[in-house]
Amino acid sequence: MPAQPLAVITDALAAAQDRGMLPTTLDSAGLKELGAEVLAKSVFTARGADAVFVSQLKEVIDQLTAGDIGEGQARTALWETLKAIGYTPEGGFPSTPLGQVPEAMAGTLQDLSSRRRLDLIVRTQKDLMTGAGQQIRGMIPAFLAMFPAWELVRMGPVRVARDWPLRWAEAGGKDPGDEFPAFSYQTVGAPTGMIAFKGDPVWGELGSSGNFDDALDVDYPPFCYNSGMGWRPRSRAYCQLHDVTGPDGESIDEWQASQPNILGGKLPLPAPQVSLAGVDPAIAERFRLATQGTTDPGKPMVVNYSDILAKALAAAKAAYHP
Amino acid sequence: MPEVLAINVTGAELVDRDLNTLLAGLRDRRPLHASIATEATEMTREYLQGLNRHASAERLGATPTNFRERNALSLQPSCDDAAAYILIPRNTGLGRAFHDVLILPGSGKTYLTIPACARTYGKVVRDFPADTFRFVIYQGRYPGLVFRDDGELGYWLRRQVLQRQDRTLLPSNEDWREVGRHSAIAYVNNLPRPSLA
Repeated sequence: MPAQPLAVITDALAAAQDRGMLPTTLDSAGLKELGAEVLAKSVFTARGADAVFVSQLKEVIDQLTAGDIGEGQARTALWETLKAIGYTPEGGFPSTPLGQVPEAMAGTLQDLSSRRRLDLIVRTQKDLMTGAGQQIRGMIPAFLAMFPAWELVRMGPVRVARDWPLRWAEAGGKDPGDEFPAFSYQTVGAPTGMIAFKGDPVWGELGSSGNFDDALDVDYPPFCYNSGMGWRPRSRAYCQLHDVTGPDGESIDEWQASQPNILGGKLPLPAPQVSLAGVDPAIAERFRLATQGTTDPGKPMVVNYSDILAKALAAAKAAYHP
Repeated sequence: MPEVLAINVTGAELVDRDLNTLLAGLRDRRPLHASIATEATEMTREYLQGLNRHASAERLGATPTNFRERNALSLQPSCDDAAAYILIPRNTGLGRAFHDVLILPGSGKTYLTIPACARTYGKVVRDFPADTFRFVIYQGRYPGLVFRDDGELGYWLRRQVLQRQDRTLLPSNEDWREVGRHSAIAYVNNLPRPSLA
């Protein structure tokens, strides 16, 4: 038998290694005041010695997704790094200018070295990489041909489940119909009827922070923090049985034919935006200016990077085709 | 004297067409294997999510960590021309379904910490403030860590732990064969074929 088990690592690990750091010129104090969601989402650094932590974080998550270490070992490795750097909840990182970092109460989410915070970081990163790996694998031609759709189902219990049918509807998902019990999304493994083709824009909308403040700006599970939701691949027969169609009523073959990038294993870009709801408006504005994002008049706390992305793509294209 | 029987077979060309379609559908085995791998992986995930084995947590009166349920997400289907696979990362601990597992302390460590009460279940010593515990030896033989404030035993300390093979951590071979069989039949039945009408 070939040494196939490495492939599972390759997908999740590839996804892990592809992610970048959140570019920002905000200082530590500004970052500290951003919402917990924004802080926890990205692998980013405030200043100076934080870079060591960020570098170690990336390495640890790579090892975790590769299956080499467990969540507990990942937390311990990060905690030891923080200690080695000299991080304290009261003073932050030693390289941070004195007085710029609000004191964090030890053991709270603001304390980077607390179990709760490290647990949040490790689990969120692991879930993201698992979801990204599943998406990559789902686009392999043989899997795409046999299982053209995903169904959103609960994969793990949570204390309080979000209203996923409402989110599904707001994201533009098709009504699951009466054959699926209304609260099936609360039961682990139960079919929910929230089904859409691979590559359908509904997945990006479901994970967009422009639509949901706690979203992670990804088009794959877990979509938002500690959601407990995941994907179940659905076969052609299942799709036909439940009359699953594309956004404009396309059949499976019509949808896939209209999406050559998807057929080629290329994935659509996730929505380039981030929500700063709940953040001090002055800091949100500084964040927007620092990152050169734009805001929609109807959503002043959602920073959009579409223009920047379009310019960057145009510049890249021009470089290749002058 | 033998009698000569004249037998006319009709519709053979249609049967041949059907057979050819079937053979064409099986020429590239990857879609078939993708189908089997996906169904088998989903079945295995459901199995893990339904295990509901929280004996340690229940014994200690603690909230389960749902370790196995969460790990179910890490399973991945895979396939090639030769076979269908379920890929199981090492850190899920599911290798114990196939062999004994000897757990040793990490480098530089002397003991493993085994939670002994609800307060410590799912946590490590580092998750508590410094000086929460003190070292004790029970009955002159068994080292442990007790809470300084009330003397409750927090952790047993062990130099190694041997976990015996437990095949029930994963579905049985027969369960996997069954899902493979069903998946293969469904695949063949769903192959597009010319109408006999």
